[in-house]
Amino acid sequence: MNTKLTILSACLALSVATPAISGEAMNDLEIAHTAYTAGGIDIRYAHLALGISETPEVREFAETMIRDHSAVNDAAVALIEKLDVTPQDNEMSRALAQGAAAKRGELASLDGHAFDCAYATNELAYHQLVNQTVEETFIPAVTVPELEALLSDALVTFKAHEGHAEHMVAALGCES
Amino acid sequence: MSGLSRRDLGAFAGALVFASPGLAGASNGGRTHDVEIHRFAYRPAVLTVAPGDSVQWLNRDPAPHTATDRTGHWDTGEIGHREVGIVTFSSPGRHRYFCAYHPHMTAEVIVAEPRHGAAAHHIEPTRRNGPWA
Repeated sequence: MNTKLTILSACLALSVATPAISGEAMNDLEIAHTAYTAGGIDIRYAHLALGISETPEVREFAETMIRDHSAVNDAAVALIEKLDVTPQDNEMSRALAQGAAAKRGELASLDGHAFDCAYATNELAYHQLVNQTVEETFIPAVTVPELEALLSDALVTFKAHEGHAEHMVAALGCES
Repeated sequence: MSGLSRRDLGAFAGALVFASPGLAGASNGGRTHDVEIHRFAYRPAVLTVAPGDSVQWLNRDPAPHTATDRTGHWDTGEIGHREVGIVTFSSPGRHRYFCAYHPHMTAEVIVAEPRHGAAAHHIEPTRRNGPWA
């Protein structure tokens, strides 16, 4: 199956609304835009968690997400400035942002253990999706070596997050 | 340091320098050993040093890390991208440490016994942080 279709289908499973699919491969500027957007989305989820959750493990995870995704995005901005280019908005970025807004609405209606589990399971699923996209679509497609290096380093970070989220889901005793 | 230029330090000069009074610029006569933090791992994972030596953690990851002693006796604090954290070890022993932000990252510093006949002085670990030099 076309990888882009797979990713956008996964977005549907994460309550992400998908516009019409163009089928065209993404260029470096679009990939940079989407990677940055994905990081920003997780930062916003984390701020929501800090506003609602009182569970130490969830709060620590959220603080790590803010810290790490901010650092990766700062590195992306530095690279963009160095290359003197402008990231390009695209349908995948818009789909991610749209779905994230819906997900934040769902999460904001919860509290206590229900919120913790919803946040933790969403973090796991979100990182699984992002990691698959970065590894299987973005990295093979980029043409700028520095962007590839940044995405490769970022992928290591995001995979650590995925493992951390998996541990958090188990520790919270969330139902699968 | 391969892959990095001293020019890269410009933007970070003066950032996160945790020098304590009396420690900045102090020479302990020991060597400085490097531990690279890259892709969420400490390299080397096990480092053996002599009493009086320093260990310098160099963070190549975009994400910040720490090197935090498991028994709580020392902590580099946050080490940002292309920043360093330095701890001087004067007492023999094994120092298992981890990243406070990413606890699955673990490693160890072994401070070897001094040679027979040499006096052993207990000095608390000292910390100096700053840009990657």
